Amino acid sequence: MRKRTVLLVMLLGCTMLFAFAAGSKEGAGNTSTAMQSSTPIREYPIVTSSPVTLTIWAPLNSSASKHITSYNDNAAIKKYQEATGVTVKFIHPAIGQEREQFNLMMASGELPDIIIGASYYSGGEFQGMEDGVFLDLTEYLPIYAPDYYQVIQDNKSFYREVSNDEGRIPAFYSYKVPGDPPFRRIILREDILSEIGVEIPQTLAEYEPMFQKMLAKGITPFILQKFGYEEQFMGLYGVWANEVGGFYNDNGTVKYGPVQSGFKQYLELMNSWYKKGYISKDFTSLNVNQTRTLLDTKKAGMIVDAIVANFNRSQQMKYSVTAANYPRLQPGQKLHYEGNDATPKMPQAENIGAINAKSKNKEVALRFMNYAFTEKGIELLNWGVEGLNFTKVNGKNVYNETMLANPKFGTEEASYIYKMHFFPKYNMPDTEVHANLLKSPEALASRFKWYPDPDMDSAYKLPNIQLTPDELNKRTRLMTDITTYTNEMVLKFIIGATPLSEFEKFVATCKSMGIEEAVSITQGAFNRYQQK
Amino acid sequence: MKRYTAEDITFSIANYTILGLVTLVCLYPMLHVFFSSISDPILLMQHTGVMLSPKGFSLDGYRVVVNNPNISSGYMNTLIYTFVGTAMSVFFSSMGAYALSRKSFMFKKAITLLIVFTMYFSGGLIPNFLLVRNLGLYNTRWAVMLPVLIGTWNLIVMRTSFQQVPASLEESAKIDGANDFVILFKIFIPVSASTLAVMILFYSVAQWNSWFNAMIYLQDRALYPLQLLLREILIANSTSGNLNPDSDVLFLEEVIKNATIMVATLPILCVYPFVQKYFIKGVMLGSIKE
Amino acid sequence: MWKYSEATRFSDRWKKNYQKSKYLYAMLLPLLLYYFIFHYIPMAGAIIAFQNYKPALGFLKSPWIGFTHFVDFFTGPYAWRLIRNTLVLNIYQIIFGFPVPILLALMINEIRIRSFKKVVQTISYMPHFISLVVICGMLVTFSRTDGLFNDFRVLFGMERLSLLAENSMFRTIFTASGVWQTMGWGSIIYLATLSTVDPNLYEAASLDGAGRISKIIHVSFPALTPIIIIQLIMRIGNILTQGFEKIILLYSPLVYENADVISSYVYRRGLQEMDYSFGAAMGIFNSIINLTILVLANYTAKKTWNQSLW
Repeated sequence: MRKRTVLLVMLLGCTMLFAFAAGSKEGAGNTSTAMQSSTPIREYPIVTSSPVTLTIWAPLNSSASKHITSYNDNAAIKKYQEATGVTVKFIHPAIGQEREQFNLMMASGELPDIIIGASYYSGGEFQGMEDGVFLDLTEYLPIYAPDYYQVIQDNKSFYREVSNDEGRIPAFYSYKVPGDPPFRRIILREDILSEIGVEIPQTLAEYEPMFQKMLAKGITPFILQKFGYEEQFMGLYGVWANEVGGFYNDNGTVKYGPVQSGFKQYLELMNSWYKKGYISKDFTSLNVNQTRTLLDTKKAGMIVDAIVANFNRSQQMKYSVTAANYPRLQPGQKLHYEGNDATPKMPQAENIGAINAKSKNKEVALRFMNYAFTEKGIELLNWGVEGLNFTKVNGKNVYNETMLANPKFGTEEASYIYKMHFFPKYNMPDTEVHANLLKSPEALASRFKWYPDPDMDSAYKLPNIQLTPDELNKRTRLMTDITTYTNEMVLKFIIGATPLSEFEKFVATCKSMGIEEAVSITQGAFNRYQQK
Repeated sequence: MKRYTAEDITFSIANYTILGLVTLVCLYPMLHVFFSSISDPILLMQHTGVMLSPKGFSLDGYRVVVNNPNISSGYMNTLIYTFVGTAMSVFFSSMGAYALSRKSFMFKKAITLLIVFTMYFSGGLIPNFLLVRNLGLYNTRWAVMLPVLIGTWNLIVMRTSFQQVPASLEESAKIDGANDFVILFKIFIPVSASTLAVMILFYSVAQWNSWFNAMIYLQDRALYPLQLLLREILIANSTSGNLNPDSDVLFLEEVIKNATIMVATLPILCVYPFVQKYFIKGVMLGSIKE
Repeated sequence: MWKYSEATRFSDRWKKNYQKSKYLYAMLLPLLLYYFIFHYIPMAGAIIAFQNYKPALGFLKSPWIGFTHFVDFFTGPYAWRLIRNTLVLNIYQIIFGFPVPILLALMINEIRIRSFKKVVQTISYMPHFISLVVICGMLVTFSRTDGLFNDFRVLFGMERLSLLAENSMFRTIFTASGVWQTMGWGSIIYLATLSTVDPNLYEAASLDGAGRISKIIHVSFPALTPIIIIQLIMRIGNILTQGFEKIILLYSPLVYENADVISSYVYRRGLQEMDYSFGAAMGIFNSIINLTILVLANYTAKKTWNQSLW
């Protein structure tokens, strides 16, 4: 009986493997086509011998999904197709499952012509290019996507970000002129401030008296970020860190924030505030909505959040918020951690579009994507359709009621029904095209408060450097454990579960977990990046 | 006339009290969800703690759900998947459970082992996806019903139940010349009616609540079951689906979350009382004495 | 072993068995097809645990890295903690969560008033239908310093604490909420089994002078024994499985010490880099341990109570 069973199992196993492998996808190959011409092609609409329909896989914006089922229904996209002479068919994954469905699509081996969200590829879109799944665009761009190519050539930092170490480019990226005012600010309620008779604090020393007065009134002064990392207070001590193990750039040297001595000072500050009751005891379990509600109901005094979102909401709730500038130890202290808009490449997956290496319509796809960088394309995708959702006033584009006060939906949805807020394109600044900001002049003004600040820059921010797959693998392995440990310890230090005298022990443990190796991997990639 | 002993009475009092408490504690979450679903969105957001009545009144949550273009096809699809799927599952499971419960069947141990093994080892998402594609089932209703045709746990429980049926029933039927099919459907099923009722309940609830397989295997929104649609609605209105830090998040997230649960759960809650009547005592046939 | 007497050769035995039970074979055929197609064929895909799998490259071309994933995990600093937490949470759930549905079923079975019985049954299983997200949302709100749980603590003279930030409270909150959510639903199968008990048995017990409790112990409970044992075996066979969803919804780094389990760790790792192979490797490890425990449990049950899965 035994023998039979073993034979049976082996037979079963072989059948399985065979049936399975036969059905699965073969590896991809990279085919390159000979260049048809070497002069840039700029004419639109695109003329082809037979009508072409391009298929595009793209995440559908969740807010817009309430009203449209596909970007084919988007007003700007409709005009875009007319202007380029190409019809497109969008394929959208289920909302919330973009990553899973992307990987399933990869496994099935049937890719559409254009893939927006290419960064979902295992190891990033650069790896997708290496593996031959995404077309290596480098040779094609000058000819078929000259406008996009122009943007790359004109901007060295953009070039560095969109190319790998050998200068090869895997996708169409969104370019944004850096310099929009930051969106995240310390937010306070004007009525609370006047009740306790306090001005907006400027230096660190002014915060504690404010907290004291808030506490006296039964208001929880400060809701700290869930993981305990608040860059606006970290920056005072010359360090930066976040809960996913971010590194920062200190004058060319890559550093890991939590093991720096400045970080200890930050923890001491937070710990002393926590002990005095200035920080909410529930901060580790509050989410964004709950935090905002605490501010709305006057149970909290200060949060750090998106200023315009809070401005708009507070208007609805009939009170006023105001933003505080970056806190400083002494006036004029130079700070370097502002990450908003530090780099021209927009990181969101919806802003990265790759071309299928096996597409039968490569040239058409390239020219189609390029249109987003032409003058007409820029206007179409950034603002929408003239006459429909915006009008020209004195040469400037101004949104109308349909966009800003639509009875059927809000500005978030409108940004994906009339225009394409996120799409691989040349992006005009938020302050000119972001519908939420332009709802009212006050909303816009709230974003501009304290801007520009001459003593703040983004020097700490690491650009989008690329790691080799090996490096990425190694670093992820190290960092998963290190961030688990760090995140735990940071919270323990802040609430006082672990005394700060053990900070040196904490640093030593991080070192024994391999943080120095992780840092040097990152440093190496950074150095390579700078050479480009 | 029955006489109640002191033990009887104390036991009953204790029993009823404890069960009463249990009922209250289990009722609360449903009340919370129900009241939340008809509350005013903003007041709901601001309310913390126990919910013993709705805060304000608003049907906004339900409105969003009902306005979804695919909602009626969603319900239709779920009904199809539930009825057809459950019928097939119960049919094939009972046959298999019966066969595996017969002592005379020589491979029962080996097959049970092979089946139990599958509860622990599975290929994972991608191999299953590729399989469904290669079978040509992608984007069809079968893709939602076939991969979950047999629930191993259910199968084992049914087998155990069939094993408890007295051997005399089978023997007497065999003497009368009945074959296994007849024995199963005319004798075992009626005798194990309560277990069968539970199986119907479990399979239908599982099918009713499922959305993951539909998400992977279906592309056409017209084929989406209710739960998947509701999930999309929820994400579309929540901060997690929202990438834009400056956008105005409507407060509908909380109300919608609760409204979707009500919409999804109420129908299935109605199935249980219907199935409950099969749990009446003494379903056993007294035919052994023949 | 094998004996060479008449009709004991495998093919002969099988032919005989087939003659006798051919309908049984017919009944099993769809079942076997189902398991083979939908479970065994995809299982070959588990091979990705041993590769550095990339969906686009497929199985044949992804680079082979052998046991690296396994080594990586076990030499990490948290392996022991993760395994320990997974086991402990499961053991707690078994000790506290397994008996409760049985007790509940026995108690409900004793209700004489029909309408009350129906009401208790129906309401007790409602929490099962409320999605985890909502249940955890409630738990988080109740655990805040101004929440319901703290209101109770104050009644008993205890101080207000952010309960989900307390490492020592995590196991309690996690287990208790699990029992609360699943006890009603879990009692259904036991109630169904109890309904098949011959009422004459209770009569006979009464005549023997048995009281309520005695009847429960000697009539009701034994009727449940087979199903209890099977359930227990299958539950123990999942000793290393802890779904990450509920953990993720309730935990924070402050309680990693007691809350971080294998699946939540794998989830965090997956967020950094979509590493299918690592997840698959952990899945295999899970499964092997589970299966071993299952075999042990099955063997013990067979020897002790003569009931087993196979």
